[in-house]
Amino acid sequence: MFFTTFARQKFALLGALMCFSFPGHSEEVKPLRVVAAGGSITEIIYALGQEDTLVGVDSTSVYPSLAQEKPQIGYVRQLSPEGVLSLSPDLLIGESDAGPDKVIQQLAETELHIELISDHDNFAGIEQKIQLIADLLGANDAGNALVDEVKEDKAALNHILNQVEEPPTVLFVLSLRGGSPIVSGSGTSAHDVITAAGGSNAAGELEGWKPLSTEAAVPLNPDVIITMGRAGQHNTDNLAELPHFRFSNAVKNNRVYVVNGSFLLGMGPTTPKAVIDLATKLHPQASFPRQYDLFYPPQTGE
Amino acid sequence: MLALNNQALAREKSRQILFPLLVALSVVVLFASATIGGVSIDFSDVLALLVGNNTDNMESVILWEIRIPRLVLAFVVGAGLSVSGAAMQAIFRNPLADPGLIGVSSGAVLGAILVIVLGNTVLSGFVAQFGLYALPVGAFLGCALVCLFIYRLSSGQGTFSVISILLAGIAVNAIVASITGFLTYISSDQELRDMTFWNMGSLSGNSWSLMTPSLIVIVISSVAMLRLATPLNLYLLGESQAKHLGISVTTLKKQVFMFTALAVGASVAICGMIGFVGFIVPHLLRMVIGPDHRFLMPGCIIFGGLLLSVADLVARTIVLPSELPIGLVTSAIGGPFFLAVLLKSYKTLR
Amino acid sequence: MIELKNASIQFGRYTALNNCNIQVNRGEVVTLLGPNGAGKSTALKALSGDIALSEGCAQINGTDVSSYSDKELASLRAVMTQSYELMFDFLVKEVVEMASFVHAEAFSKKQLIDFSEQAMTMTDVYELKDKNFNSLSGGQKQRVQLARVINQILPILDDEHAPRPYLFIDEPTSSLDLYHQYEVMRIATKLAEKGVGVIAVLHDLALAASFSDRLYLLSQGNIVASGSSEEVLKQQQVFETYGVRAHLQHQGGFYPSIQIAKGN
Repeated sequence: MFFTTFARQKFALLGALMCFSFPGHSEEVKPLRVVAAGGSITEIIYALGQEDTLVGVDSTSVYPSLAQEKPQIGYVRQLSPEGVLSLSPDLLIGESDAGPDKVIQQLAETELHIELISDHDNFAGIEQKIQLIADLLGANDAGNALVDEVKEDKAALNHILNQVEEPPTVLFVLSLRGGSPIVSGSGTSAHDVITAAGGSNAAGELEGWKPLSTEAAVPLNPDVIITMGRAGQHNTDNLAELPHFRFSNAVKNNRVYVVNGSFLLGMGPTTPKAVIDLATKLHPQASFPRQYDLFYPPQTGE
Repeated sequence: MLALNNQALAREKSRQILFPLLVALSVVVLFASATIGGVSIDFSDVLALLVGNNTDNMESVILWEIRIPRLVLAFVVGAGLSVSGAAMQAIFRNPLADPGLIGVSSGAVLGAILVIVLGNTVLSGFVAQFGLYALPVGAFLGCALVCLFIYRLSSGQGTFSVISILLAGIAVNAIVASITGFLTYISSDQELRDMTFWNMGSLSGNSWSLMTPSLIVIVISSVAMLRLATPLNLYLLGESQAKHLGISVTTLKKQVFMFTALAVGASVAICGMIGFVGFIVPHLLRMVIGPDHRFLMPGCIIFGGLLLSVADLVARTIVLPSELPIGLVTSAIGGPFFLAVLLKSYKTLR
Repeated sequence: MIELKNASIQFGRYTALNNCNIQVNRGEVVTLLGPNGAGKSTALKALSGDIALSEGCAQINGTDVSSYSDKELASLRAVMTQSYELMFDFLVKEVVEMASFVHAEAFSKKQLIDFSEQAMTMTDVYELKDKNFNSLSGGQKQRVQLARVINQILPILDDEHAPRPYLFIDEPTSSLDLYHQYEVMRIATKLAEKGVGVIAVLHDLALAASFSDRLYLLSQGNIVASGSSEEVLKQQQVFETYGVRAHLQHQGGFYPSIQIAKGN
């Protein structure tokens, strides 16, 4: 993606916001209208307490579940220009894959301020993402608090990682397509997360999300297998039965786990907690730092 | 069709009524498309913005950069697909023919899926070179290559066999389907979704610079096909009969093939797959004003443009702030219509 | 004059025409006769420019047929084919007016419509002109197609300086009733009087005998007899070609008829 942030507009907006935040200003404060394209964006906005600014979300914004009651702009990669504009937004914040490109370009030609988080859409960049959005919304206090929380989580994670001697090999299975499991190779969000949790990606030789044949799967012999699903779901049996994995260490030692994909891979404020949760599964012997409580999974209110 | 003793009178009358009606409706729909949309702009403001020079405000930008390009595209694509459908139905001498029969669609799908799935890897240079144009150019190239291939297969010994177009089309469709199937198999979920949406068609998001090449190709091809109206009439008499009347039948077939491939290819390249328009419009119109192409083809241009404009109006307002892919709207109308036509012709056969 | 000179046509190992010589002059009515597969339609198509010869040549007015463009040929000859069905619902007058395309540049719209109406009157379909072609009977459709073909010829006849055209008719009477079978050949004769050279493929011997200036009898790709009807339709000849004993009967006030012998 070749979108740069509109620096001048950003500062102008910031300046405008600062003007309006001075007490005693006689003009009426016009509330900011924000459209979010991407689940992590929406999650962050809610976490910052700025959900009242949200006038529209995309179809991948499923958490918190209240967000689904907001006006729906469609799939993040297939936005409609007039649809977005019909919400009279001041600001469109999107994840790196918001699109299509030509629609973003068309929207940019109107007065709409667009911010696409291209550079920080990964695990390491979660704090910057939060910071960026907090700046845009003028919610610096909440933003700082949230960043601190993330930093604390990451510190706890590091504490765990320091206790690891040998990283276990981990295989992340996205889904089954036509009988072949789709696994995460390098360059994927899952690879990012596995590494962050102190594991080694068993499918690291592959690039991107790839279907895996039986013969390719068996030699991988992961120590741990992770698959996506809702909390409490037990679809691990189907997976464990597959000839691809039946003979692996993971199945033999009963280390096949179901995780919530949108938390783990969403790259939002919940992700560090989800990674810690994963790390506890990968490294059962490791311990948390003192006075750290892991609040995971969050109450989804479903 | 109608058992009126004076078929001629009925036809004459319908032609006299229909053309002014279609033109009037088109004007209404075009203005409606300019006025109605996600962002509300009053009709009086629309008029003011159309004539005035005020290009600064947001409404003007929305009107000139988002809405008007879109309604122009809808009209031109609808017109191009419909007149191509009429030409196809003539050249196959079959009122059930559709422009997709000549392999245009599968070629375009192949080109598009290659760009979508291989755009980050093997074709990354191509994508970097063409940027936003990569997908339309890829789709158009794919369609041009497949059509060229089918054309070659069907030309030979001074003839241009329509049967072999059909058979070659079937064979090519099968090959392309397996290639696209393979690409689908290796695609990521994201690419798969992009492909799915492309297959459902969309008029959204096209700036003037992006759509102008397609517009030019469609307009030129459509005008060229209009000029083939009388030869196509004669062609309907039969191959040898047309030849005896001085029509170079092989040249005619080649021209129709080429212009249809260009018009439909350019449409699909910019909008993805929009089905049924090329079939419904000429079929419906023929039932009312008769098969004479000198009236049918201009009628298809206006009615086709009108129909697609209305479909797009529905597609972009019915689920605001989201949008329906336009191929869904045309299929939703076209499917039942096709069924009704089949049932009716089945009844008359009995 | 149109002619086939030593013409042969081979389809693989099958000989459709073998060394045939056929001539048709202006103002003549010439008929090609023969049983099924004799090659009469093939010979007709060779002369009209629809089939290429393996050997020999086909010429119109001294020039090889294949060297004329389709457009030029359309001003030199008109063809009525065996098939007359139409997939689409054109009006009768629209079908007939299609032939006007050939002369669109040389005549005004009104003149062209006049020719069409004249042609429709000649074949007795003028009352049907506003009807849907597909609502007609087979015989009526054939007559409409004939009107179209005549409509291609009439404008040429109108121009004194244009070379007289040729009319090709390939078994035009399959769906026609008795009256119209004879009427079609009467029209052909009338056109011949105006200078048109008519070459017809007929299977009805009596009809051929009634109207032809000359006949060619074909069998298995060869011309086995040519000349007047008396010369060609001798009993022995007819028996050898058709396997039927037949007698050409002349009676005053009636067209000649064919009597077929009973028994073997």
